[in-house]
Order: sequence, then C-alpha cells, then structure tokens
Amino acid sequence: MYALGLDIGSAYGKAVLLQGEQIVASRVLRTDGNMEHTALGLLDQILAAAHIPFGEITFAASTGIGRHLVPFTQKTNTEITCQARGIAWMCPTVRSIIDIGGQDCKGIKLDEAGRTIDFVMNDKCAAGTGRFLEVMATVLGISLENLGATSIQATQSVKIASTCTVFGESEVVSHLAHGAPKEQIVRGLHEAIARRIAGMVGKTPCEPDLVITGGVAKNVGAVRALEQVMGMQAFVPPEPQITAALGCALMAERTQSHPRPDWSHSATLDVRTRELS
Amino acid sequence: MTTTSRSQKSMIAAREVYGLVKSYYQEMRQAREQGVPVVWYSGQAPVELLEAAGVFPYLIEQYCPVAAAKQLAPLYLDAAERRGYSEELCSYATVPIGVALEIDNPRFHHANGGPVKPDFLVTSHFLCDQRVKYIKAIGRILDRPVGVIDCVHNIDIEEPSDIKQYHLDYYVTQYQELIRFVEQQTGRPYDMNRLGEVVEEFNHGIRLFMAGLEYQQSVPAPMSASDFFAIMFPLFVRPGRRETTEFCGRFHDEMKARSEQGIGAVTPEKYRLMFDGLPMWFNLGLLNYFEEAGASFAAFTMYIDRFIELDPERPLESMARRELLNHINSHALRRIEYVGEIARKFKLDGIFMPGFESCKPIYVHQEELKRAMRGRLDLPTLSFETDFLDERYYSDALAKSRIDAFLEILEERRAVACMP
Ligand SMILES: Nc1ncnc2c1ncn2[C@@H]1O[C@H](COP(=O)(O)OP(=O)(O)OP(=O)(O)O)[C@@H](O)[C@H]1O
Ligand code: SF4
Ligand SMILES: [Mg+2]
Repeated sequence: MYALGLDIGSAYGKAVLLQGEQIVASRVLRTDGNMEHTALGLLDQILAAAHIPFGEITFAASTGIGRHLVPFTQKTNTEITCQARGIAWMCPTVRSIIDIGGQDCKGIKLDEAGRTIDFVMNDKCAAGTGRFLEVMATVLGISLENLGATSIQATQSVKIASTCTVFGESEVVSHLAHGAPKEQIVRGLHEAIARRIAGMVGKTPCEPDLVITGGVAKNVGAVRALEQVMGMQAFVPPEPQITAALGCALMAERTQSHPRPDWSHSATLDVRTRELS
Repeated sequence: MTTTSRSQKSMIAAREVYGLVKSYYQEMRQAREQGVPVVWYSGQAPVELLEAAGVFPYLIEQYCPVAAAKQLAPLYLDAAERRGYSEELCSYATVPIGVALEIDNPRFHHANGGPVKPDFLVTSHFLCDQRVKYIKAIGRILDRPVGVIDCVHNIDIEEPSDIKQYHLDYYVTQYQELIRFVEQQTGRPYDMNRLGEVVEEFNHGIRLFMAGLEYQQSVPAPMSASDFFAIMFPLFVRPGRRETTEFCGRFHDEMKARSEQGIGAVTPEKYRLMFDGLPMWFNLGLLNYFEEAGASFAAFTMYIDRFIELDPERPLESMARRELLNHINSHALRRIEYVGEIARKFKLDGIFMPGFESCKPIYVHQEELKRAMRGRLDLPTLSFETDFLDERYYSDALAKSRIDAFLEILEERRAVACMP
C-alpha cells in the first residue's frame, strides 16, 4: 500500500511516496510550463525509483498551485495545510513556518497540535521570492546552487533597495558597473528579500521553533539573512523543498485510515526525514 | 469542497432592491425636471437633514457598486487618472471623480443613465479625510458649492455618559450652519418640523430592520451576504421615507418566516462567518465561492452602526450623539470591541476581512483587529489585499487560494472539535 503526494509548484514539481509512514522515494522536477506534464513526469520517476507499478498506489493527493491539474489526483489540499502537516510530522515543536517558493512566500503559524492557526501570503507580485533570486543569479552569472555559498563569503553587503524583479535587476547591473564584488551584491540581495519576508510574516509574529522550507531554504545565504533580520534561529529540513509534498502524502496516507504516529516523545527538533533518495 | 451545499439566496426583499435602485435614478431625473435641487452627498453625511430639506439627496458613493457591477469602474478610474488623480487614492474617491469628469460626455454610457449633475454637494469627515477632498474636487470640476461637516476622530467616548455638552455643541452648530447653507442654496426656509417627521420615519424603519436582522442569528442564517449588501440600500441610502419603512417591514417578515421555516442562505451550513467591511463590488460572485463550500455569512459590520434611533424632539443633538458614539470614528480598541461583540453574538467560526489597502482608516487597524479576534475569541481570520472597485488590485487565483486555505483551517478545527 503506497500513498503518493504531489506538490505542483510554480517553479518545481515535487513528489513523495510513502509506504505507511516511511518515505520510499522523493523527486523534484523543474516545471516546463505544462503542469500536467510535470505531474506525469514525476509519477514516472517515482514509480521507477520505487520499482512499483502505478496500481500499487492506493491513494494519490496533490497540492501546490497546479494541484487541480494532476490527472490522477484523488484529493487536493492547499500548500498551507500540506506544509503544516509535513512539518508537524517531522517536528511537533515547530510553531512557525516560512515557505519561500518560486512565486509565493508563505508564513504559517501552528498550534501545539500541529493545526494551522493562521497564515499570510505575499500579495500580488513575486518580489522577495525564489523567482527574484533566479533572475538575479542569471544577471550575476552565478548558478542558483552557488548563490548561498557565494554570499556567505562576503563580510559586508551592498545595499539593494528593491525586491521588485525589474528594479532589482537594474540595481544589480548598476552595482556591477561600479565594480562592486559579486559576493557583496548577492549578500545584499539576500538581505533585501529577508527584510521583505520578515515584514510580511511579521503580521503574524513568528514564534520558535521556526522552520524555513521551499526551494529557497536550500540557499544558505538567504536563510542566514532571514535569521539575522528575524533575530531567531531557523531550522531547515534536510530536503526543504519536498515538505509540502510530504504533508500531502501523509494526508493521502491517512485517508487510507492509518493511525497517527506518536509525537509525544519528540521534544526537540529532530527531523525525521527517512531514506531520502 | 462539498458538492451538496447549495445556495438558497436571493430573498424576495433583495430582488426588490434592483427595482428600487432603478427608481432612485429615475426619481433623480424627475427631480431635475421638476426643478427640485439634486444634492450629491458622501457616505454618512447627515442625509436625514437633506431629506427634510425638500431636495433630492443622492449618495454619489452608491454609484460605485452600481458601476463596478456593470464593469464600468475601470473606465471612471481611467478618466480620473488621465487627469492626474493618483491610482493610490481610494477608489471610492476616484470613481466619483471620474463620474464628474465624464458626466457631460455624450459617448460615455453611464450605468442606470448615470446621476444628474448636482446643484450642490454635502460631505463630512466621517471616518476619513479623502471623502471631503474628493467631494471638494468634484465641486471644483462641476463648479458647484460644497457644504462640509467636520467629525472628530479618535476621541475617548466609550459610552453615552462620556459625551460632554461641548462635544454636542461642536456638531449641532455645524448642522445649523449646514441648514443655513441649504437654505441659501434652495432659497427656502428650512422646516425643522419636517426633520422631526423624517427622523420619526427613520426610527420606524430602523426598528423593523434591526428586528429582522436579529433572525440572522438563526442556524442556518436566512440571509446571504450578497442579499445583505443589496438589502442595505433603502435604509442606508433613503432613510426617513415611508417606502423605506415599508420595505423594512417586508424584510422583517421574510427574515422571520425564513428563520421559522429553517430556510438558510447556505444549506447545509457548515461554517458561519462574519463579513467585516465591504465586498469587492466587481466580483460579488466570489461570495458564492464561500457558499459553495458551505460557509455562510451570518454577521456583518458595515452600515448597521448608523442604525441608531434618533430623537424627533431633538434631532440635531441625537444626530451628534450618533456620530460621537460611532466606533469607526474612534480608536482601534473601540473597533475591536465592536467587532468582537458582533462575533460573540452570532456564534461564528471565522471572520473574513478583505484588505482594502487604499482605505487607510480601516486598513491601518486590521492587523490589530485580527490579532485580537484570534487571541480573545479564538476566531481565525482571512484577509488578502484587494480593492472594492479597482480590479487591478484583485487576482481571482490568489483570492481563491487564500480562501481555500482558510476553509481548510476551519475544516481542521471542526475535525478536532468533533474528536472524542
Ligand atoms: N538548489 C537550489 N539552491 C538554491 N535555491 C534553489 C535551489 N533549487 C531551487 N531554488 C530556489 O527555490 C525556488 C523554487 O522553490 P519551490 O520549489 O519551493 O517553489 P514552488 O513550490 O515551485 O513555487 P510556489 O510555491 O511559489 O508555487 C526557485 O525559484 C529558486 O530560487
Ligand atoms: S478612504 Fe475609506 S473611508 Fe475614506 S472614502 Fe475611501 S473608502 Fe471611504
Ligand atoms: Mg511551493
């Protein structure tokens, strides 16, 4: 009996396959503009990784902006609920989640039972999200994966005022033209999005433990900047991009009426990600 | 999302309102033909006082939802912005300015034939200053005089006993000045006895209306949100008239009957919400999105704060009291108390407060209000940035994704509450 959770985001599709509460496989796939393709591509990859036929999946659920475009989904939930579910399962002591994806940034507050009490999302534009960093990485000629490592080399930062992708880009170009070191610019970019995100999630003040998820959590520079602005330590799961897909899979799994795990023993942030492939 | 919920909205009273709005515009044109002065006024200016003056008082802000529903608001916004009025102004100011700018344009097809040009205008500082500025701008555009009532904001009046004589005097002398202004404009002496009659009629309407609204506490709530926003029209816009009182009577009887027969706007009613504020007038369909998920709007905060009985013997003084006691002119804590009181009364599961960023006086308190509702009443709240009239600030996909998440929170709470 396998349960599949798919998170079809604006930038990446993510899939987690569970057997009971055990993660059997997970995959991340860049979306190609066709979210249905992304979902089917993820399904193929997951089935191949787990060496199982499609028929073995007893329940499939989906989340993310493209959740309604998954042809084989049996249940849809928002990313807010799935993210909360995934993180609460990993670590019951978490009270605040900041998820930074490709186009959305979300702040989620949880109660002791792991229920969502409140959430905030960025409105209207992608300022201060992963897409902003992607564009800036291209302008700077640095790979997305290296943004974090580059920025933590810098001992100081170049001030970037705008988190608007268009204005931000011209600011970066002008700093480059004035010979500013790239690592200082990258650090400045991370600080700029951190300020914006902190301002947004500040509407529902963050309480510890704080976890950062989404693809941008893979960027250590962005995480450090956010910790600094928030004045709070942030935890990052080993694979922060798949936590909503995990929550989605857990909800699918529970739909098959499996008992809830016992969380009571886990007082500290002991991230229980298992056998991530 | 449940598929069994179905919307039973559209009370007979609500359907009646469409005709009443139409005749509002027809009567305005007749008034012009008969030489009765037409007066544009802004929301919460003392309309009872104008009603008694033998003029045709026209709430120019009433045109905003009408224009938005007909998808005309962008054209008025555009007209105002082309003349240099900023997009950052609240759209309740920019749309009427656009109306004034286009009122003589023969190629512009206004909704309901549009308003007729005013003879003069009246405004008040109720809640904000923008409405005074925009009415004055219209006065300049159309070259018409403007009467202004100042309102005091953020004063420490919690109860009627906090009101001092000088508070009352401040308003009463202004109302007297306004009466002199109206006399100058109409060339007729003002009839204070008539004001007493208008106030008496207004009181009849209020009593019936508020008694009808009490039935909204029934489970399921008899009236839908879109019905509420329609049904408010007669008493809010045309108070103190016999037809309005009769309408309120029919509304009351229908609410009573629906409540007794267990007819709800949404059945089954899974969640009961409060609607704090105004809707996005260009997309009232969004209300169905809630209703399809079994969420009804049982409680409302808008308009009803005006429905306080006035004293026919001392109308000006009681109008002053009404302004002074209105929570919305007061500080954030009063607003929190006011909203909290309604929330407690209506047995709610959550609150929806659209975030109208351009309306600073409301928006500025919203986070505080949300925190208080969560903290004191354990009520989850939903808000997202949008606008009442300006579609550029609204994204259907974003709105729905937030509503979905909010409904999931309600569902999760319900599941936990039902656990043994
Ligand atoms: N290896 C990496 N290193 C650094 N940053 C990364 C990496 N992979 C992805 N990102 C960042 O993460 C973002 C995408 O994150 P994620 O997959 O959580 O978004 P999404 O779920 O598709 O978007 P949304 O939730 O907004 O719809 C990218 O825009 C990029 O900035
Ligand atoms: S700012 Fe708010 S209260 Fe003032 S006119 Fe605009 S919408 Fe009305
Ligand atoms: Mg995402």
